Amino acid sequence: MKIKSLQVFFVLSLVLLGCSQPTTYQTPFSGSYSQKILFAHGLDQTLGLFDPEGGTLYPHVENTEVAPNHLAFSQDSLFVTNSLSGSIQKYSYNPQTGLRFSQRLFLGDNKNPWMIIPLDPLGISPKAYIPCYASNQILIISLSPLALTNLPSIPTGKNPQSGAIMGSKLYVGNISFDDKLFQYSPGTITVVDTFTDQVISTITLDSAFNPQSLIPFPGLNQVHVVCTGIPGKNDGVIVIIDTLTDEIVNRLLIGGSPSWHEGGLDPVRKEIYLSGIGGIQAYNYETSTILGTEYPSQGYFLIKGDDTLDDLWSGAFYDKNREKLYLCRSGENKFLQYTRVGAVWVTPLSWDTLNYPQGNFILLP
Amino acid sequence: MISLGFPGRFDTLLPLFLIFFLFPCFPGFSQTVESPAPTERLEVQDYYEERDPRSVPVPITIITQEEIRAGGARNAAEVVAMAPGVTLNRYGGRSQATLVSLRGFSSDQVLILMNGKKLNTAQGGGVDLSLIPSENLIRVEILRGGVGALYGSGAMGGVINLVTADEDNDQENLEAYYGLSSENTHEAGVSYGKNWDSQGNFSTTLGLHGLYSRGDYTFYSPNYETILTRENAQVLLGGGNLNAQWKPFRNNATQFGFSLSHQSSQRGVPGMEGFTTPRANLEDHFSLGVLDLEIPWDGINNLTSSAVLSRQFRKYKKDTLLETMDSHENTGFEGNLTYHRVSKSSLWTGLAEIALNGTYQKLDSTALVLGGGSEGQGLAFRQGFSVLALGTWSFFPWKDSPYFILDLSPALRYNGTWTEFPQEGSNTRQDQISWNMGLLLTPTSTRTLVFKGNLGTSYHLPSFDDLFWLDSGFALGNPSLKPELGWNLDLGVVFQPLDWLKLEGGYYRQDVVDLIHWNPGAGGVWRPRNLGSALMTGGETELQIFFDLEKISLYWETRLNYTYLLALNQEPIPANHDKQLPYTPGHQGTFSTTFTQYDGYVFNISGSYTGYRYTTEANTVFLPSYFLLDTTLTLPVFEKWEVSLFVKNILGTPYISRQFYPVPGLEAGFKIRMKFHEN
Repeated sequence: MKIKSLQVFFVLSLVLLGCSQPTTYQTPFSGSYSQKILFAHGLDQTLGLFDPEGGTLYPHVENTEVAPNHLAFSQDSLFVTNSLSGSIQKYSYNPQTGLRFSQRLFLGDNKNPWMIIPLDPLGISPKAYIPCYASNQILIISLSPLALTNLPSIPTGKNPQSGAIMGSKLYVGNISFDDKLFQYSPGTITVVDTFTDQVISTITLDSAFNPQSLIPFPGLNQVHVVCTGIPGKNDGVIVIIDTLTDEIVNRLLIGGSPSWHEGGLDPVRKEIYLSGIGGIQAYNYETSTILGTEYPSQGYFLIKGDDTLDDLWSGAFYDKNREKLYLCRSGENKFLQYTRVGAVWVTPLSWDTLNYPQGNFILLP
Repeated sequence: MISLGFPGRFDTLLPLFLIFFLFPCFPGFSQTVESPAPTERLEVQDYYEERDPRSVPVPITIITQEEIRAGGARNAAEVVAMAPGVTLNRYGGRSQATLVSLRGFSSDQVLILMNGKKLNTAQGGGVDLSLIPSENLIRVEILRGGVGALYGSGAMGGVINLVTADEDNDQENLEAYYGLSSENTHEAGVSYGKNWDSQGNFSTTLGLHGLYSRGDYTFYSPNYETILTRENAQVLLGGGNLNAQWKPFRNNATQFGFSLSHQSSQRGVPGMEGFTTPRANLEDHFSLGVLDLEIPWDGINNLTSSAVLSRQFRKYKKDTLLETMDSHENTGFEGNLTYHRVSKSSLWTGLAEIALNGTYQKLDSTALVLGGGSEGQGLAFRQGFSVLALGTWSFFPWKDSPYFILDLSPALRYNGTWTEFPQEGSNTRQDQISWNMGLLLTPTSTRTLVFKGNLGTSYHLPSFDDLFWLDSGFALGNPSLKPELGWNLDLGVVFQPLDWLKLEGGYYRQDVVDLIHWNPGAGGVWRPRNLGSALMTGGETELQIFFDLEKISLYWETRLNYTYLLALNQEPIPANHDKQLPYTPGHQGTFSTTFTQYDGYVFNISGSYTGYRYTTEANTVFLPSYFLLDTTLTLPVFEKWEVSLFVKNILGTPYISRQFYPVPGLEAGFKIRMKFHEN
């Protein structure tokens, strides 16, 4: 009897210990991926999909690696930059079948890549630039196949994080965080000739800190540098650089802590939408006019959230066909849709997402 | 408004609880006697030091020195891992931190004691058990569940008491050891104890230990798809302790105790995989001084007091600059005064205790928020006091029948804390009341069967790091944080039908609100918030078998345990709600079987299974489960010498405990031990 009891105990233990491992988490989605909005969940290592027509959000359609900070689409493929894993993931894309993981590239030790900047999406030998925050360099990789190239890396200023192509020049924003003094120094912009991959100039942003995003305006011969400023200080500023002379021509003291992601632009009204602590900010990029309401000691806001450091709005994407503004509110793990009525954005609809939705949206072709 | 530390519906129980608790203390309801019935008593001032788990109402595992040595544990972390409910978070090999999680609670929510004195500092970050050599441990007690009333802040997941000093009846003893093992690890130590008079009225022990490890183990890197060697993982560690016990009066058991221990270490910080730091290093110094006084003046009334002074100094040198980047000095003082009284009536016997405790903590750090949000050197202070009333009573409802005994152990604590941060001009007061009710029901005279129950609350004050830490561009503390609050229920049974067989099992449920979560915010800066709530529920079982195989002169002892843990996130974010908390395995189990030849060899083989663990809040990614098998053989070589040979992870199982932190595969080594005892 005792032996039998022991046997039962052991068998039960083995059954419990042998419990199967979970299958990969997945939100089932079937249907065409075309014209769907893709975005990343930073903390959950997944990609979410939003169907604007059906108004349905699929929190997860694909896994990524750790800290997917940036999405880029090129050559019918999606490229995900995983900052903490130090890797680029490539997914082939088919509008009917969706995304399919195809390759992974580890960039090396202590790189901390923040984004991938394809040089010529329509070119025959596609390559891409990757600003690496920790190694103060731009890596040049091949996109097909996904691989490191023999091209030497390009040295930058301290902590390159953002970038944009303007004609034959690559502009890279350097955060310039001083590890020794524990403080931000004024940001700089490294300008690279994409024919020679050589640095041709460095622009100092003077009193503007933390250049987290660059917006190229080929028609205006301008690059707008969105300086997020020091978190919590509401010292956001837009620095406008003339790309013909590579000189600063204007500064918009917008306040807050703005950052910009691809797609946060209304080409008809010429408006830029920025996200950051406490809400959404905006300005007219042609007239350099700040939009919205000024809040004392906080800045100008188009859509105002809470005042706390924790209310982070991490992305804004404008769908020009539907005239909708899609936003990620990381602090609440929400995906929001706003509709324009006259000059005002109203009637927000919201969907729950996974954790920390990133602001990088891709409207899938 | 004082928070009671548990959800509102339990507030209504408080008046009843107080009436019940105070009832036996009124003089009219009790009469004093010489001493309580010895077999049924817990020593109140050493509340959970009894060897037999049947006499303790909360789940407890006690690991003896024999078991520690038989299992070949190299440090305190490996000892603790033998208990149910414990998850080790290893950040590398011998030199890197190992933090303990209990029932899904983080290392900050588990109180680590050394000889009953707290090692956790107000700065936070848990206690690294990999730095405490197992050779110094005489006994380890792992108490599971929230016991805030008994131990104060931090005892949410449980309490681990590392016992290094014990009453020793030897007249003189000397022990020394040397070990050599994988990763080029050398360790050595010596301890000497002496009773300076024949009655043992004055005794001292002195111990010294040291360890050096190059920490150069190999691992498979999925990034490089090849075998790599872990670099900058070396450690140099040295420490010592001095204990003295003095009974100055021949006809009185009054006793003074003094102990002083110190440990310093310097180790490389190899960093995460993909973010290696080949030159960074961390320097740690920890000192603990304790003064005890015990006055049992008439056998009924007993007064004890203690004073504890601790200092932790930590200096981090960053990889790129090789100069001191951060330094933190945490100084703490704690004073305790305890009075307990023995009492008895015809239906019950008991002990009641009142304890006063005062604490002072100071952090002098270079990484604090200064005015205007900049980072720099600053100070933070925390002062507090608490009043604890507790007791344990045994009731004999049928006066002449020993077949039914009910033990009740209530406890009630008030704790007031002031946290001051001069840089911001803030001074915050927090009040906590926590309570605990333990129950033992023994329906048989032989204690074949014992039912256990425990209900109580617990809390954890936000650490200085949670409140005031600033690492510009990376982390920013939140001075508005509230304490984490929890309540817990434990139900268990101990069944020992035969001398050689003991089975324990239990169910537990712990609810936590205002759980502190660090999440990224603007610019990638991480901030803590009282976001979460969580529910930890599950079961723990343990089977112990002991045979004395006289015919072949062998003892055979086996310990087998299994833990099921459902650690569910209850925060109101749909993506996370009811999801398993990261790094908490749902299934865990260990076994250890030891063959001990009479006065001969000791052979142990043990294994541990750790189930899969999610690494994200939404349970989208997980680390696979793993099974590790270890073995140890201890051989007596001369009269006073023995040699231990051990192999860890015999199967060479590739696994990781924390994402990005590779751990060694197979490890092996030996240890020579010399023991001299004179009685």
